[in-house]
This record gives sequence, structure tokens and C-alpha cells, in this order.
Amino acid sequence: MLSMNETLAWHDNAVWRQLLCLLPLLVVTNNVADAVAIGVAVFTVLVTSNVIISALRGFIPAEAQLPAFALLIGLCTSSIMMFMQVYAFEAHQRVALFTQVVLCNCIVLAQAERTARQNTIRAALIHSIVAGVGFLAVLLLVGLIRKTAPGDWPPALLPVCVFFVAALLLAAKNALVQRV
Amino acid sequence: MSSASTAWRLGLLGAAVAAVLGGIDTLTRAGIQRNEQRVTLAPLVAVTGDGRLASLRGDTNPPLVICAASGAPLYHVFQRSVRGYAGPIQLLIGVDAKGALTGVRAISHRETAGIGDAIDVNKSPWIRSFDGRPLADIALVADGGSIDVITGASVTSRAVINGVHDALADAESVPSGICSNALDE
Repeated sequence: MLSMNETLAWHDNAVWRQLLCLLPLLVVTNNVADAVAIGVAVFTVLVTSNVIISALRGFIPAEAQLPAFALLIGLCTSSIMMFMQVYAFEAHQRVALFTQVVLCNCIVLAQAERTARQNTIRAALIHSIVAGVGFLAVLLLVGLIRKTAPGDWPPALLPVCVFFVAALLLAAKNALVQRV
Repeated sequence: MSSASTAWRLGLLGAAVAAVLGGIDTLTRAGIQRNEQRVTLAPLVAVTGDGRLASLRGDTNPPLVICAASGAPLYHVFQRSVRGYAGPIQLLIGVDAKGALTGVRAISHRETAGIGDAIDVNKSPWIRSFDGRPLADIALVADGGSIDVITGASVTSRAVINGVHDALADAESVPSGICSNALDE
């Protein structure tokens, strides 16, 4: 289990390794609050949907598992969005476009397929928390780097900047992995 | 597994999901409505500086004449679209019953990030310098008024000033006694 967790958070980090989910990374990480909002939304959807899918794994028909996943992840996404509108309305207004498509977010679907479908509730819970934390950490890191760019350096506010920040982080990670 | 069983299971799943979503909707509806009202009324509170407007009911589309419960007009709120440096700037302008400016906010704009976007109250306090100022003072310092220019954005600064003058000119010609909405007592 440890190796699986290590894999999910570091070696197979959704952003770093799988290069998934660059869309929210591109757009919302220009301020830390929005990065936290989308990160927490994705994290919560990931964990709740994985636990539900794992709990229902004996019930979900194998021939139609994708529609079943879509239903359950959709349930989690819509619920989170409703709760966000109650407790974090302004943040929701800014990131709603991206939370709406969390449903077909590759990270969440891949996770459902890869681990939740086959594992016990406990294992699915732990795996999804680890993968979610990995995603959240990268999102926050990029948000922080863009925010702390010298003197509100205007290019740091533009979405393209994320390509550079993400590439530098990726290069740094690869260098580190190769050395080890 | 037979396909009939697959269909039944998917159907059941769909019904269960719908039921849960319905429950959560009932649970969150009141809170969401409260937030929506707060957000639509926040600009009105900001341009008039009057917290009582946070519980205003009814029409919220400018131009508005907001009256006291007695029916006496308290504020006029105007919306103006002016041409900024990078596109239209939507301004919301509050004027009290005596025709004096209470406040201005830019509610949407496309001005340059880091320069002209200082008209946004979340980026810079600049637009607060209009609050409560007499008409004669509303001009850039360079033009004999008392509003500081936004560094690097004189086009943007002048556009806002022109919009405010335009709205204040309108305020004089608003017929009195027609309330868009009134405060509760």
C-alpha cells in the first residue's frame, strides 16, 4: 500500500507525471485563493466519488461501468458545487466553469477506474486522499510561484505563464528523480 | 450478467443519485439564495455607503431611485458604460438625494492587468477617492481637480471621471417621487 501511495503522490502525480488536468492549472492558479478553491473541490470529488464507487463495486455492472462512474462522480460534483455556493460563493463564481467539468476530469475518472473499482473502501479512501493531496500540492505550488513573482510582474498574471512554471517544476522533478 | 440486470442496476443508481441530489438541493437552496442576494446588492451598498441596502428587495437594475420607507428618495444609482483604454468600462455611480456623489465602482472592465486595472476596488483604493467629492473637484489634478491620475493610465482615469460627470448631470434631471424600491423599516 505504501508503494501504491508513493506512486500516486509522487511518481504518478496527476500533473507532473500524467500531465493531466492542465486546464484548471492554467487558468485558476493566478491567485492562491482560487487555486485552493478548485483544488479542494477536485480533492473532495476525488475522495467522495472513490469511496462511493468502492462501496458500490459489487453493484456497478461491469458492462456499463463508465455511465455508472459518470453518474456517481456527477453526484459528487453537483453536491460540492451546491455546498460551495452556500459556504464559498465568491470563490465558486470564479471557478464554477472548472468545477462543472470535474465530472469528466481525467484524474477523477482514472482514479475511479484504477483503484476504486477493485479496492476496499479503506484502500480507495487512502489512495484517493494521497492522489488528491499530490494534485492540491502542485496546484498550490504553481499558485504560490505566480503570486510571489517579483512586484506583481504582469506576465505572471497571464495564463501562459503556467506553461513555464509547470515546465520548470517538471524539469526539476525529473532532474531529482534521475539523480536518485 | 444479463443486459436486463445491467439496465436495472443503472436505473436504480440513477434514481438513487437523483434522490440524493434533490435532498442536497433542498438543504442548500436557502443559503444559495441569500448569497446571490448579497452579491447582487453588494455594489449598491458600495456606491451608496449605506449598509441598509443589503436587505433591499425588488428591482436592482440601474437606473434606480432608492427611497426610504416613507417614500422620500434617498439615492439615485446609475450605470454608465465608458470607453476605457482596452474596452468598455461599466461604472456604477451612487448619488444622494441632494445630488452629491456618494461613490463609484467599476463593475466590469478589461483594462491592463497591473496598470489600468487599478480602477477595480479590489486592486487599488483609487476609486474610493471619488466618494463624497463635490462635482467641481472631480477632475484629475492636472486638469485642476483633486483626483490623482492612475500612474500609466490617464486614458482610464479620464474615462471614469467622464462617466461620473455624465451620471451626475443625469441626476439633476431625474423626476422626483418615483421610487424603484424602498427600504423596509
